[in-house]
Amino acid sequence: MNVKVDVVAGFLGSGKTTLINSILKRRSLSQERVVVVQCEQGEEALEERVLVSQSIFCFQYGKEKPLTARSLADIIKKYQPDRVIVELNGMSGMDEVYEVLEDKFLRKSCRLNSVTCLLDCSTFDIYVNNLGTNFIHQISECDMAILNRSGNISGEKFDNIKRTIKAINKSCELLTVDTPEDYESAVEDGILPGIREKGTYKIIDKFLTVTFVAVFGYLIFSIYRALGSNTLELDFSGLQMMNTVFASILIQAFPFILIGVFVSSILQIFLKEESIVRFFPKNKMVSFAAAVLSGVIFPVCDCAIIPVAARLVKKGVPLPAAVTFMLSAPIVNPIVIASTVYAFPGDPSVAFYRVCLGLAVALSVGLFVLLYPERGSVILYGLDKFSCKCGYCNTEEYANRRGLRRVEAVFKHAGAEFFDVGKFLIAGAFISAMVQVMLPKEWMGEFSKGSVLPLVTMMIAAFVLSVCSTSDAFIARSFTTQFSMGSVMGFMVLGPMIDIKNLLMLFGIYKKRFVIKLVFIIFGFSFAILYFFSNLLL
Amino acid sequence: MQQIKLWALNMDAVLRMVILVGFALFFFDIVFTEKAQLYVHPRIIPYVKFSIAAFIMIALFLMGDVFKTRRKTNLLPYLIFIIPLIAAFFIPARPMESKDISAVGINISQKLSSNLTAMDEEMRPLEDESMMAPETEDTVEEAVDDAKQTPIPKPEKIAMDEKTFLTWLEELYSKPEEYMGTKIEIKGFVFRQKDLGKDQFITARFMMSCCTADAQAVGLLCKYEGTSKLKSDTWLKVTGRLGKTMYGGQQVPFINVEKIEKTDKPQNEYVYPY
Repeated sequence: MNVKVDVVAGFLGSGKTTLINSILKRRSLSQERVVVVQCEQGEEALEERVLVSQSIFCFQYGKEKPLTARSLADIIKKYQPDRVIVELNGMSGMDEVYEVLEDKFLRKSCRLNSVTCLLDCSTFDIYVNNLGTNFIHQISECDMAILNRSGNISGEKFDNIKRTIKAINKSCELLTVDTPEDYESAVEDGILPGIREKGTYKIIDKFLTVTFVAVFGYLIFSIYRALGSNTLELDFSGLQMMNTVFASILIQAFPFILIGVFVSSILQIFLKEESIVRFFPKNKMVSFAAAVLSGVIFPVCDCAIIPVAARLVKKGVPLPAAVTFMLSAPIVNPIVIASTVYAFPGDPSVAFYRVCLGLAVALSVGLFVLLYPERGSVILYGLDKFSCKCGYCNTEEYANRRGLRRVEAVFKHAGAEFFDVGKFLIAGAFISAMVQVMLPKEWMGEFSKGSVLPLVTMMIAAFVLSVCSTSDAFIARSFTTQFSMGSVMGFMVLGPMIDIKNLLMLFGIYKKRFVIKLVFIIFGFSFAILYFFSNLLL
Repeated sequence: MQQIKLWALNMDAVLRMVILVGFALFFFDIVFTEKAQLYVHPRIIPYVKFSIAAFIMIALFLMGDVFKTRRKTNLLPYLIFIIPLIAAFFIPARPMESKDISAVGINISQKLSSNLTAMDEEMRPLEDESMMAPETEDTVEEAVDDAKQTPIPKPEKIAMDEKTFLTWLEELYSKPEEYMGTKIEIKGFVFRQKDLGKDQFITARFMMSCCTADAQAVGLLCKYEGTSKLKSDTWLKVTGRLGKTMYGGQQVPFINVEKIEKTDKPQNEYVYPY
């Protein structure tokens, strides 16, 4: 027995029942036995025509009579359906369905075939801002999000909704319809997941492919190795060297990134946003000083700072101060300073210069934003709710936890953040190892001549490599064999402020125009200040 | 029903645990087989141990999530973690060879000085009355700390081994004239560079300031008639007398080679400053 379970989620009036009707009409053509489980009584009812069919059975659940594993199991045993469609209210979380399906019997007999999330464009903003976590969780778990009543809102707003959904769930499909009545045609076209079979075995397929490729690759590798150097002159020593360099960067950067994610998790779990906001005085000038200081007191690295800064702006901290905070915190962070001192042993002046130059750039950019203020809001709406994508903070219950449960939350959050941030570090370390071993050194030499080119090269490298500021000093250290200290300083000052991974995050939070402007100002000021530094002071 | 119900497991949690434990094992392996020294400076090792503990702790806390179903699993981000892990286990660490850096060349004078002068400044406050020339094994530990202070009593013969290599190098480069004519014994590998004369080579060792990524060759210039017969990267024990010469626009010490012996590769080819 293999019962497919399709979940249709959405708020009252989002058109769930209409969608199910459309699916059933189409379904009734085929020979499937279908059970519909409604966890909500909506305005619409299942159509008579559908209900009289011999193979469709409908059951209603609600607040007084919640859906339990037992009752679902009984239904399945009794009616032996091919498919169960669960209509889920937007207020209830996906966890409720999961809990039910985790039942021993149901686990054996069912598989979750699809999750469809219905969203009403005209009320999307209100829901996202006020209903928070369950709603977001539904979106994050769905295979397809259907946006209906798209005609009611402006194009820009619609784009924002789309972007928000993509930010929550990268891999879901989006379908846009004007009215719930359009479902029928969509179902007829075979677009809806209820029709098209979307296997949940995709995961294992992918995994097997990956494993297979890896094993096969290793096989070829060992054959080559066995044949030895006389048949095929393959030089693996370069690869080996690259891997050694790559691993060595990771080995020394991981401890610092771990310390970083632990500190940030502790802040996230134990410190309320309000206490950070209270820290910023309303006076613009004083708030600059606070911005710089708070970087020391709230040590977040560049990977975690952007959502924090955005939250500050929303809570009423002046934008220039928030920008200064965003740019300076990753550099004045004590962990970053410590790792810089470690990366350049015996030369604490490097860390000192890094902090000073970083502050100079951060303050200049902040002042620039103060003197040439932005018109209107620079922040896209409603994104703070899921600024933390770790999936643990999303649930409000975590905030109310005490004692050991909080410790657990810290570790889980740290783990999630490690994976979130670590991939950029690994990619950065990989590119940097490749550059070191593969690129002809004469080539690098070309870029390290003069005073402008090496600085620009290092700044671009910092931007591209996107290494977390808690560990970038180690990567910067490796460049000192080829580049002057002044240009390596460019790497360490610019990297924490702006890089590819931060740019991606910025675009998700701020308006495009502001982000582009900000990037240009940061690059401009960094270059000017560092050029001045390396030519006149070093 | 033999199908595996993968969705019943939280693949996110499973993969995360596998990766965390994998890294912990890899770190554990390199720390306890002392392979770690091929990757990083020994002073990083306590931090590596911390990472092992942190990885294991996070993995333990994740265990509770394994049976909590979450359907959406995007494999790609985890692949980024798995690839270096597999590579780290299957591709053993290789010590550097001169060809890995030959093109960049050892900046024997400038780079070394700037590196070691920095250390010089830091060491100075640790001034100590009891100073000894780094001659015997017993005094070596102290010597690393103290050798920076002036003046070092001029020894009869300078012996540069693992522990005294960098200390002496710095001393010789900072005042080549003072040691003119002193007998010296040095162990290192043959390193060649384009701008060297036909009878010149460098007895070098790799210095790791932090990790393999920043390893660079450092050493002493040698003048030897039979240079052409020497193979790059062979390990030698070179004995000779010190002199000074111009190289790269600077006064540098060099060895007038008297005797060359082939020797085995030392267990750890790197030398670590500080």
